[in-house]
This record gives sequence, C-alpha cells and structure tokens, in this order.
Amino acid sequence: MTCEIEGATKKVARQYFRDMLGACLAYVGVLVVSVFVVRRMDPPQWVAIGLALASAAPALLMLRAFLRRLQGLDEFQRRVELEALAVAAAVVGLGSFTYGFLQSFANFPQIDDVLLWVFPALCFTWGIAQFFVRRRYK
Amino acid sequence: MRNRLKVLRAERNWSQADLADKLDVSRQSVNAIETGKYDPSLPLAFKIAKVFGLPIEQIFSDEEVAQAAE
Repeated sequence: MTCEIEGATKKVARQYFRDMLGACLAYVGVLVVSVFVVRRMDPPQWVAIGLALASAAPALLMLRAFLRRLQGLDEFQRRVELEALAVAAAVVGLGSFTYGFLQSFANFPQIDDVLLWVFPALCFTWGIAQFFVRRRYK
Repeated sequence: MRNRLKVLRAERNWSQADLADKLDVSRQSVNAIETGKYDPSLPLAFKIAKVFGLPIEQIFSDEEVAQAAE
C-alpha cells in the first residue's frame, strides 16, 4: 500500500519493492489510458464503467504486495504493522464520518471525487501511524 | 512477563543482531522482547529457549510471581 519498508527483513523488503513497483506502474499505465479515453473519446457508459473498474484493479496488486509482505514479517513486526493499520482505519474512518456531518449540518464545502481520496488517505495515515506505533515499542 | 534475554545474550557475547539472526527475526523484535515491551508467542519463546539451550521457565517468568518472590 505505501512504499514504507522500514523494519522488514531485506529479502521481504526487496520482494515488496518489486511487487509494489509493478503495481504502481500498472496503476499509472491503466490510469493514463482510462483518463485519455474518457476525456477525449466520450465512450459509452459500459466502457466507462469498465475503465473505472480497470483503474481500481491495480489496487488489488498493491493489496497482494501488502499481504505477501505481512506474511514475510516476523510476529513483532506484523503486530506493529497491523496496529498501525487499525489506527489508520480509525483515523480515516472517523475523519470522513465527522466531515460528512460537517458537510450536512454546517455547509462545509463538498470535496470533488472525495471517495478517490479514502484509499490514499488510508495508506498515508498508515505510514504515519507506523512511526508512532514503532516508537511505543522502543 | 519478565525475561533474562539481555543477561543470557551478554553471557554469550551475542549482539542483538546475532540473536535476531539465530531466531530468524528482526533486531527490533529482539530489542522489544528484551525491554519487556513485547511478549513473544509460545513458538518463539520455545525457539528462544532452544537457542540458549535452557528450559523456557529459566528465561521467562510471570511478572507477579517474580515480584512476589522479591
């Protein structure tokens, strides 16, 4: 999910880097083609749906990379990563939930394509949370 | 849970990295166990006992029992 590799054994880290690089390249490739087709060619709805799903598909490769890395870590590292993921899920979940109420009750601005930002926000917050969770075990 | 990992490691002149290699875990894991911030799983505790060639109860002890004995 993120490119954070601290704490992993070198072999696991190398595998993760390769897997994640492939997923990132696939994501960029699919996204460039999808945006080009949708903006320039005005495709029918079923093609647009297919392109939207195809753009999300590389996230499955990222998920696979993450799970392979998790399986390769020792039990302590795995615990740190999963605790950080739980913190990130709670922060992003509560944050988006709260902002939803602010939009509804207090006319806070609507954010365009807000759902697109949930996954990156989760990855980013996960990386930050790892720093704090790791510090707790030092 | 208390443990004597640091003492046992020092007796053998092993660094944290040496012990981590023998246990096939990261150095951070050894450090977290030594400082009592992380209690290892039973399989890892047995592996540690095997590496030191000691019974598991000579390495790990219950915190409350240890305090009561002092």
